[in-house]
Amino acid sequence: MYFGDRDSNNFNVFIFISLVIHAVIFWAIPDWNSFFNFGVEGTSQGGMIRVTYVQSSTAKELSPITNPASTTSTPQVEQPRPTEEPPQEHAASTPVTPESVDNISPPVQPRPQPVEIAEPTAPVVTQPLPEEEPEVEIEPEPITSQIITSETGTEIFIDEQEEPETEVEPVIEPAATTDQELTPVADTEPDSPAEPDSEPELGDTDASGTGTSIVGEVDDGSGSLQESGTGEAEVAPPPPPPPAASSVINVNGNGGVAYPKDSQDEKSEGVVRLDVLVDTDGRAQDVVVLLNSGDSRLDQQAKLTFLRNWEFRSLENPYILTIDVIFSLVEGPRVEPISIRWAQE
Amino acid sequence: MPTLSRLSTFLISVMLIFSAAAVPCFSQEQKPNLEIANEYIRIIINTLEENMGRFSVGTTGGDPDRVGDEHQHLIYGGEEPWTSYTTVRIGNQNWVFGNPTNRRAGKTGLYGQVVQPPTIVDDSLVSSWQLGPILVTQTLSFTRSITSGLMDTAKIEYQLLNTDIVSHMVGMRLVLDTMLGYNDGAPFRLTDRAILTDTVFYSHEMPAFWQAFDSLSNPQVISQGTLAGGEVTPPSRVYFSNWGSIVDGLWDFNYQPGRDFMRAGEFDLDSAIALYWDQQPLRPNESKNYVAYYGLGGVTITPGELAVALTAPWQVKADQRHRETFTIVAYIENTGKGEARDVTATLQLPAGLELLSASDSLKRHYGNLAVGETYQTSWQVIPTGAVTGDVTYEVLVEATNSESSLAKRSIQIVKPDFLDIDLIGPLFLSVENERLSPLPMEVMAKVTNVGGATAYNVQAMLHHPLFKLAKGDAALKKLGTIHPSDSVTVKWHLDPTGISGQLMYSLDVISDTDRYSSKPNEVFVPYIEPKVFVGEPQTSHDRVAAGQYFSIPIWATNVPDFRKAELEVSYDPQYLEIVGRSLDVTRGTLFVDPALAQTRLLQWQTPLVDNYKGVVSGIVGDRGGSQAVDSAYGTLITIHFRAKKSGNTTIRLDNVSVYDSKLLPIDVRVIDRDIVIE
Repeated sequence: MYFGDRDSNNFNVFIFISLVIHAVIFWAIPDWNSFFNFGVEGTSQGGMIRVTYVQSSTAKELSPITNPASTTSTPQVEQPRPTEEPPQEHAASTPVTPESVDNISPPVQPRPQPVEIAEPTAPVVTQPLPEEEPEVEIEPEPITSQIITSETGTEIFIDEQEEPETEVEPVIEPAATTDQELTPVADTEPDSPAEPDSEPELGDTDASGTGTSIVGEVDDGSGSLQESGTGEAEVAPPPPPPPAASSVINVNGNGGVAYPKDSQDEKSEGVVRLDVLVDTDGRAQDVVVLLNSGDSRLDQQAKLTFLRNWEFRSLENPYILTIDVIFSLVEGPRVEPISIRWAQE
Repeated sequence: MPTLSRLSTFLISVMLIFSAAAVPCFSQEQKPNLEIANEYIRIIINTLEENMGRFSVGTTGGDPDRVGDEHQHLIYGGEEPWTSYTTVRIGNQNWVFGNPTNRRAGKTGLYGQVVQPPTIVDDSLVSSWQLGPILVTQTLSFTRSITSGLMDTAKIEYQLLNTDIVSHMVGMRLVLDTMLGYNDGAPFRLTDRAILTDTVFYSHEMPAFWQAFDSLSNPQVISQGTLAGGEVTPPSRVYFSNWGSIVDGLWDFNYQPGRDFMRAGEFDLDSAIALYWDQQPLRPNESKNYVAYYGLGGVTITPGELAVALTAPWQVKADQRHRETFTIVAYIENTGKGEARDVTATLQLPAGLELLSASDSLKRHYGNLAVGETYQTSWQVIPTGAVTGDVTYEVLVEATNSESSLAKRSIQIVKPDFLDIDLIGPLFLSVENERLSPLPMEVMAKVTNVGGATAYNVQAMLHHPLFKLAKGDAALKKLGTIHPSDSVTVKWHLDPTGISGQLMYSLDVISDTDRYSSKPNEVFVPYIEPKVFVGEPQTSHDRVAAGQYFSIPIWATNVPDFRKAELEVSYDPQYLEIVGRSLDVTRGTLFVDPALAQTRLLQWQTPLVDNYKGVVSGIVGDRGGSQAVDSAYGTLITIHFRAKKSGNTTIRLDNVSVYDSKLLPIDVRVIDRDIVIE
């Protein structure tokens, strides 16, 4: 018995040491393939060695949107992966009924209030959000949300569950940047940059509120907009929002966006986000790349396609359409409208 | 502690499992391609699951007379080709050769089953796919350029074989996504035309070749596609267009004359070519071959302020009987710093060459040539037939305000290919064992090229008015290419069964140049009388002895159009007996059909055996009307006897009736046999 117990203890000690050694090996050499693969891949059967020059992504040159200096926080670009599930049907892509479109009357005020429509599943510029409340961004059931138009025309999202500032800041940036870059649009609002009362984070534009704040409320043109009713500014009636972003594309047989041959050859994928300034004749007057894909060919392809080949729905006023073009090798190129707003006059 | 032990054991087991799983997970990276290469070019074929079978072409050393065209693209795709693909149109369906793709080029096509994945066979890249009823084999190899004379050209060959039991309308389209180095949108140049927009050429106007280059002063690489000559199968039509439009259509595509080569849906120039061989009927077991050439352009460049490039075939055939016309193309580019005024190009021909048309002019006037502009002109030339060997022609380019340029290029004038046919066969056949011998009769033809030029697309057709071809043989045989002084031997196997007399056969040989016929050969085939007879006893001993068993076959030989036989067999029961009665009677080979995959027994009536009377009666076999044989040679029945005692006895055939396919009686000679039992 005595010797038997001692043997058992020795065995356990051996087992423990073995475990430790294995653990160290697995921790130190996580890549078993490379550990055992002594030769050069592909040469065992006379294959070829491909030396690929990997160029640093141009995406690292931060755009005004991704530049931390231009924001109060550090937004991150989340690009969808090809393996993602198809985007859910959401408010922004819900077709607008003819009645709702027809009921949109021209804005009474000469300064239409743009409305941005958020898309739950599309890649967006996101602020790291509190993890306990991620659904606020994508949940298409904003029954409890409200938009209040401030005295400056800025719409402020009020959510019952959190303070609006945490939501507004990061999402507002693209719109603000867009308006600054789209020259024709910026020129129409000369007062905006010098607006002393404008908050820098929010910009001086009409990009009020966030995409989040109006999800599900204005896609059909019947969102619950309220005036603030406070302050000294004159109380403007809520402007009629443009129709849903998805309803202004794919008209007159736009043939999608072709995958650039060279990019496809090099298996390059990415997402390009663009602002398209559409004139009243339905043609793109200007296209600005908000987020580049890291492959300039993809960016250029998306930009030129909208600028030269596409025809959009003509509305009574110029508008700015934010679009994602997702270049996926598996699924092919895909166009996803993100938001729409009136261009600033 | 026991719990700890069990836990440790469990953990170790888990780790070992993971370790074991990790070891075989070494990434066996799939090879993206196979390639063959020579000192000029390389051909790469995609071997990945997606796009398998598609190919590209690039240079290795390139043109030996040009620096800077090494390791350049000639067809887009490099190491993983995917943009060029081949459509086989069967009926109204468009099948794409190779494995499916998820990309733009051919994504919506029908795809078949791989029969042979890309394989290197004798310096060729061979692959096969079964596309519906058609077996398509793609063979990529090197061949000699018609302009440079070097092996700097890819030979792209497809064989389409109808494996169905019915005919199909079959056509083919080959798309080549041309590329010059990194220039994917270079224009095409044919004779005196620069092709910058959508253009089509039909067979009646098909030029011998087209070329593509970006600049004469500093060409990255010059490519060339051959449309006629060599082994090339001239296409029905050729389209030059942008790659996007061409590949978006599997067969027809959006062709817009005058549109530039901007890639459809994109914003870059991207030229491509589509060669069509329009649909033709393809009978069961019939095959058709289509050959295209693509490789380096054989262009001689003379630099200068007025750079001149000359191109033409490197060899032309001519003698007093046959003269081959050809085209001399001159490209003239103003590489100077100012406009060249009153530019002229004058062709200077040596003895042995002359203009095809007397009304044509050797001197061409272009006018002013802007900086960087290219002028292109051509002459149709024919050898006189009086001169052979190398001759040099020149093109003098002049301008009033620029130095003139003189470009020279040589051409070899050779005698045309001439095929000598030696047809060899037996003078007579003999008879052995009631059969013609040798059977089948072998006929051999030796075709020798005694001319000065290569003979292309040689085919031999045997004419045999009375003979039948042996099963599996065909009268038409494709001999392919025969170089000067080379010979090709080809054989046919003929079946003269059922015919007799002094019979003739002959051979016709066709090449791209001419048609040749052999003198008819004669062979004497003797007549063999149709017979039904008792065959030799078959025994394990040298002779038949009392108490032994032996077999007697009843033969039917040389019976024309044989279908049915009825007969009785008589024997002396004092000497012979059939011990097993009907069990010792076996049907003959003529009532078994071995032609099918599984041997099939034809109609046969089991006979009655009467050992008391010594009669086997009711022997009836019927092949059926559709199974009649042209000339019967086999047994009707085999009977197994036992010799009861010594002596001489006879086995007789009685009431023998033989019928043809229409159940009409056939006259046959019946022969009994005497048996000696020792």
